[in-house]
Amino acid sequence: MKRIAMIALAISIGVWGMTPRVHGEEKSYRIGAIFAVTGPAAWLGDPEKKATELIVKKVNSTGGINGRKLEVEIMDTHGDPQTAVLKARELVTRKGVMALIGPSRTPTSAAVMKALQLDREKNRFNVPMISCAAGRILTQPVKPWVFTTPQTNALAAGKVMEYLSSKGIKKVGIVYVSNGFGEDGYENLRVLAPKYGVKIVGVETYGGKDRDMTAQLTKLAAKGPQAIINWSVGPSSVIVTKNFKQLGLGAKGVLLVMSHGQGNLKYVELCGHAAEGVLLPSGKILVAQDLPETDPQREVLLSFKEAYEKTYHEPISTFAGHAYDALMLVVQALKAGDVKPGDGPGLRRALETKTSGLVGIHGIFHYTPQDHNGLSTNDLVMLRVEKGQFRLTH
Amino acid sequence: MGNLIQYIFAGLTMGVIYALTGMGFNLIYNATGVINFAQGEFVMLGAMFLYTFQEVLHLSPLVALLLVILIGGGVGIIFEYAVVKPLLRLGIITVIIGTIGASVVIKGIAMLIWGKNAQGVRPLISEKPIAFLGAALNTQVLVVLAVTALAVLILGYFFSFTILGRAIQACAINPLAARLTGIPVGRMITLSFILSGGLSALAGGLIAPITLAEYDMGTMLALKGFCAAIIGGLGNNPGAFIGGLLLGIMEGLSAGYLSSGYKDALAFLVLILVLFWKPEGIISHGKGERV
Repeated sequence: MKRIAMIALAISIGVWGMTPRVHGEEKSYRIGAIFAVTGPAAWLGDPEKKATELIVKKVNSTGGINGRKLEVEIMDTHGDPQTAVLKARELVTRKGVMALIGPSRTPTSAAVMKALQLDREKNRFNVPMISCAAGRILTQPVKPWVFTTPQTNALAAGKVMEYLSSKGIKKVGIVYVSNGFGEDGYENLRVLAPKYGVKIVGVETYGGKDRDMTAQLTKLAAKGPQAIINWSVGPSSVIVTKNFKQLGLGAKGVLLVMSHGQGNLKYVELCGHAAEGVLLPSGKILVAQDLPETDPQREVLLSFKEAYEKTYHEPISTFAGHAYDALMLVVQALKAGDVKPGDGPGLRRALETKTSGLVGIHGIFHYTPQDHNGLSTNDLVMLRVEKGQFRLTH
Repeated sequence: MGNLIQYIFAGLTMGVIYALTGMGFNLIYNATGVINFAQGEFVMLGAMFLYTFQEVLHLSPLVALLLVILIGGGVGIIFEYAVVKPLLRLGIITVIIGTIGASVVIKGIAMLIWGKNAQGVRPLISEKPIAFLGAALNTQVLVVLAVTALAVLILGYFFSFTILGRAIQACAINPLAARLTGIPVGRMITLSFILSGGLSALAGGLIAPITLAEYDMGTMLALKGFCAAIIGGLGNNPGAFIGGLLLGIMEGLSAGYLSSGYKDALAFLVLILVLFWKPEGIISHGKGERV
């Protein structure tokens, strides 16, 4: 009898421990965040984590949301899809969060998206996810429970084409890094070019670890493009820029256009003089001080930039903006939709219908049931590198 | 015509890098029979230290290069005592596997010290490229080419005409006989590691302005440098020089005339063909031993 009592006690403790704490009236809004804080994508996850912590502090110090506190639990994925799924499950099942912010990268986001999908099919946990990754598979076609905040390749490619055609450029050459990011970028450019009356005269690729692209650029230049578009992230873009300069293509009047992946000052610093005159599409954060007073984003950008740089003593990157936008969208949805704590489906509905017009870092968001990225080419600007700085160009 | 020369220049740029790394492989292989897969990491350390000395501590480029060579030699000694010596009695294959492990460790430590971002280094002479028949060549490439050619000559002289160099060769050919004639075999092997470490670090310091300095640059360099050494015949320094240039120029031409996607595949195809038809290397004298 005593033994049975012990077993019963043990089981009841176990069950109590495993039950997600989503039942009953909760006092605060619990949100989970999973970022690649360490590992190969730490340059993404680290600023995202910092931005998140900054916002939580700010929201709670100004009275919270609907009189309740905002709690965000941040976990590290190491940039690895399996770890991301484990951490996401832990947050959803054990910590009982009502929404997920992140992950940072497309592969991790896709993995978490599928895992949560399985959970939903068993009708267990209904948690919307606001990913900080830009991959097309996350939002095209629209998944009811998945939202994203960064500018997509499609938007960036659209902006580039819009800009080039406005400058009367009809012939372009494209070089891209042979990975998911580069191929997606090329695919978007290829589809969009005819709409803007631009002809692609040549396409070349290179590996992410290649350290000389003069052969590819020479081959492209021989086809007489008015501009060369490079789509990549990381150091290979620096080599392309230096090789472009080495070959003297800029002096021959060819424009060099980079992707939004080069939107950080480290790129300019590594390129040195070679970066002068390089064009790239970007969100407005990098040139906040150059924006006209009338720009609705100006104030949001400047105040976030100031707060971030004052707290962390490092220059702000666009990646901090991914997390800022994701969390602020959730905050806005909770407020505007008067969502109860723990009500994932309610939050999802509010994200789709109640957040339109939110002024974020990457633009003014217009989430709808048909659009879970919510940005347009109007939210992007073209930048030009001048004297080692990004400058707004029209 | 201008295009052809530009493709060759593109190949030359990478080719000298492969050649210099390939020679590092040879030095250790000649003394111990070990293929050191951490060779790329020696090069990476050279690049990272040059970045530290030249860009962070603002030393003059020549002083920085000298320090880099010294540190490279030191890394060579540490590497021999920490990795090669303890494993050598277990057989060559064990040592080779050990070097792969060591390369992962070195890469990890470098990541912790210098971080994950690539770093830029200013070139030794000038940033202005040299124009030649409508093509442009990075000035730094000429520096690397000159240093590599000089290294081939000096090492050739050292191994053929000096007592010390011949003693090292004797250890490689037959350690037992060398010991019987009074050559301190252990010390000669250490010397080879110092030479290899120093040369590879110099290589890293010289190529950093071309390739940027990054903690994970070593893997690719080791792979291509190894190819260069194999094409030229393992252990043969002039061979590695020519093999490296050939490999680079093949890549440049295939990126130019075929497709940039097939560049690496073609390089490895050449490697396989060489291994089939002339496994002793393209410029061997037909002895064909030690493959």
